[in-house]
Amino acid sequence: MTPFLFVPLLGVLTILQATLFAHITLLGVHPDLVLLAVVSWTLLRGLGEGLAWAFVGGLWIDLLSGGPFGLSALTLVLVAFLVSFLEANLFREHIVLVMLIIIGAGIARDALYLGFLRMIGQSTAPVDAIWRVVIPAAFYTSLLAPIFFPMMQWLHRATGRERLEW
Amino acid sequence: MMRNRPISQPLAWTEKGAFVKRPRNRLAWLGGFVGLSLLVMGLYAAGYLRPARELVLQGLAPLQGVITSVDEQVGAAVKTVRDLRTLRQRNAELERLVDSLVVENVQLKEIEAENANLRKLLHFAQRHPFLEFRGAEVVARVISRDPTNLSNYLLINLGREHGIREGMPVVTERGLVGRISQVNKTTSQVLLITDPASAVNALIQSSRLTGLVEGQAGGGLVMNYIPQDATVTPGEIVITSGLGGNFPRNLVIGQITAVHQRDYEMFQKAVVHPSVDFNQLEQVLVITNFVPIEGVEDLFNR
Repeated sequence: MTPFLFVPLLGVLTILQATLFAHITLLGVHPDLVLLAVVSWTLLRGLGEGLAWAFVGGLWIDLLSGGPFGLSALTLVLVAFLVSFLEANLFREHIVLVMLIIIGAGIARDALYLGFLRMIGQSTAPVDAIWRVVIPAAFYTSLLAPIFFPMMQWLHRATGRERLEW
Repeated sequence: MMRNRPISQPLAWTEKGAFVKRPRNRLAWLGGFVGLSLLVMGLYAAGYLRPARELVLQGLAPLQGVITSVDEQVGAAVKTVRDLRTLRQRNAELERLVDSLVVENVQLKEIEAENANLRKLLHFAQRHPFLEFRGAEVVARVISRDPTNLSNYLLINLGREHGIREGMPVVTERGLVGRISQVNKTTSQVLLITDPASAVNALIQSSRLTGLVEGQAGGGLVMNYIPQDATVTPGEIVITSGLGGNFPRNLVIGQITAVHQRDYEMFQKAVVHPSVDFNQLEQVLVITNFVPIEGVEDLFNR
């Protein structure tokens, strides 16, 4: 892919997340498109590009969010690092597995976010937040994976082919 | 065979199209990006990145406005199609309603005139200063929401050049929405009362009991610090108390739906259902002639 084309791509996803998808709520939460993109790309391309996507995607969220600036970037980077360990898994393109990874990544990302918020004294009732927001949001986001992940696979194939080395 | 590969020797992609070389030292990469994130947090906290952020937000505002507008129009179109199904039935109902409303309207006009006279007599404006804000309301359009589920903020299409300042209360005709937490040139960020970082001094309208209404993750409200020996019942209305100087008095916050009282706690708490439907917010009013007490704005400079 043309270097840095992913920057506006993640920007568009963030804006869609803050406008259009903010109204498409389920149990009071909306899906996290940026997390979907970052996790998908990390699974497809591995740690290096995954971290770059996580950092840039996180900064886009920080730009439009009222939360502490830089916190989304930090938490997404940590999640991309964890997800990158699954990159080499042969079954990574099985969509159910991808959905499970996204649920785990969503919960991990929000739990880290809440943890950091608590460290700086800005979070109340984190356990409540996990049940009412974090888990529903992670499941909702994962429901979009069957549509979103194939698009990322197409982008992955269109921008660089895989070659196995034995 | 591949599953037994050590992590340090991952599968390799061709470098065609890949702008990042495959990492050899995973922890070094993680450390680099974590360091970068912390650097960004530090620079922003020190104020160096605020102008850049403001510039980007200013550039994005028209795009956000367009997407929100399209979203609203599509939503309205879908709603119209849905409404057509029940249009005939409703038409007959509405005709009956019109007849009764004409009569009711005449009665209400009489009541309105009577009410106006009573207000003069009782110096209503002096006792309820919030009515003075009518002339200073500024209507703003919501152009985007917080992209995370854990924070509850709005972005509105009014900023510094429209006279918006940090700390100004934001309301709708249904009640309190929040307050301006950050002002850019043409946009402003509104901290909703449902955000966990928000706390509003409040009182229960009927009993005049005071407390602190705090936001909860997921968009709920809880009124804390209600005296343990007080009687609180569901259905009571909660309004701003004006204490602390952050908000004007008598703005409706919501209605109590449940009360949690434990004998071993010093205070009881009440769950409050917000009067404003935060999911349906399209336009809000910014009260521009209310000056919060100095120093409160510092809470938002994070």
